[in-house]
Amino acid sequence: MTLRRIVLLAAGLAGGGLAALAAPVTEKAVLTQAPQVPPAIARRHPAVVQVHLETREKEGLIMNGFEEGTRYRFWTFNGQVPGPMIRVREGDTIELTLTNPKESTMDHNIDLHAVTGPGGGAKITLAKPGEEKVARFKALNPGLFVYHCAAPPVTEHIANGMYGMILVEPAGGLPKVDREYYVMQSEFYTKAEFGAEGLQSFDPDKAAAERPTYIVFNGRVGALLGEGALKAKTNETVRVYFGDGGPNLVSSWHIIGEIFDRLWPEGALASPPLHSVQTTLVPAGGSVVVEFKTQVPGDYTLVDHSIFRIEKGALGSLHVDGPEDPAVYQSVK
Amino acid sequence: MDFPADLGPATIDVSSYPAEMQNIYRTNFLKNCAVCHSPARAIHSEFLELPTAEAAALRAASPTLFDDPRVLLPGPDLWKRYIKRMKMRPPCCGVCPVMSETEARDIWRFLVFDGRIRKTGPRAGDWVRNRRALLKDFRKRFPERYRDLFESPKEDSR
Repeated sequence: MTLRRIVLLAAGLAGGGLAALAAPVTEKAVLTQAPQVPPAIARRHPAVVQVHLETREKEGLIMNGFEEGTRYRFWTFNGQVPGPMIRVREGDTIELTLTNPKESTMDHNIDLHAVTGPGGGAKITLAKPGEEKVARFKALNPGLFVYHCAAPPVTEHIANGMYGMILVEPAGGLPKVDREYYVMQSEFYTKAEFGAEGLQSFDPDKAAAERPTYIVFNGRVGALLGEGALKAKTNETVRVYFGDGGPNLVSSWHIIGEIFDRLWPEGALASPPLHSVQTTLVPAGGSVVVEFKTQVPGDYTLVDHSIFRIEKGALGSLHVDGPEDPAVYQSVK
Repeated sequence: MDFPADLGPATIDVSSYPAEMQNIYRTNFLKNCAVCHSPARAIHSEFLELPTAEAAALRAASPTLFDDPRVLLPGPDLWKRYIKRMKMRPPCCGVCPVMSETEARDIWRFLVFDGRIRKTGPRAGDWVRNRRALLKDFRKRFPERYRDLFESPKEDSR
């Protein structure tokens, strides 16, 4: 080896070549239940991020009742509707383990819209009851992406609750904000009408006609009301990762009394944001990232501005505490 | 005026009701149900919420009682579903009271109780006469709306 080559090699190692030669860091993903969001990614190098999801068919509450709750047999990832939020960095390798317990009554898999490859991973993660599948995906594109089960029939797997969100942070990260929330809109189609109590069953005819019985934020009527309301203080910057699991409806998402200061349509974080947006269209199987500052205290209502949908449950609340700012908002007479 | 019931008086005499029901009527029902429309809409509604078996027993005892669904419409959860929908009305402008789950449940309990008292039993005859008078008056004053409500074929609105 010539002296020149030795010098070049040494320079390369000192300049980051060592990191390139080392085995990639492996870490376990922090998964959160809506409306909580996994912590921001501090590292500035790629890693292998292990994500473990388990499919569960599980009875749960879709709405509180007067005599008994309105219950539904959800199909879920990790027992949650929406499924847990996953957060990785552009360039990471996602090592996804999908477990379908033997008690399950059907096949399940996962199609992540963040994945490049046939079926978004669905083809290589299809797990029969009692099976576990492991697959690796490279997170090539930053953005906020929906994932969902795509086992046949995909329609019913989504309609019964199998969807969630994966955030692929840009390689340089996202600006720090005071609060982050994860909200997902979706619909449920039941044979009985809105508010009927007891265990409800799926209505394929209503689903095909796109006439939902329930339209909800975070999996059930009232998930973001009362104790479940999102919270912030005045003069904070809030970022919301909002997705639409469908299965059918496009959302006209709006927060009454707030303006989205920065908004990344369709969750496209590689693009520059829009500014000062009132209402945003979010397609089924799509997303949006919004940021806004909370200047005035009070209660702010989250709605799908296709407004009759509030009567089917598309209603949430953000409670802002703090001092008034009369320069921004005041009653004069 | 959207419905025949809107033409009726906006209050009722609840002095013979149990104290709890009087309280719900005064402090909850009249407050919450008067925001978007007159309380008359609920007071004079044809809805009669009864369990199916109880409705069948009433029908057996009075075969003509439910002949005209414009006058008296029995059903097992009519008010329950209606109140749940009303509860979802959002605090858009801050004028509407935000109905708690307890308030919504109490309004439902009051309307079910009140229906039994005024629409069945000894007072059923009065109910039918009053309701028919409201229908007649409404038809005369708002014939097009009357046709919309009672004579147009209804699409499945589920």
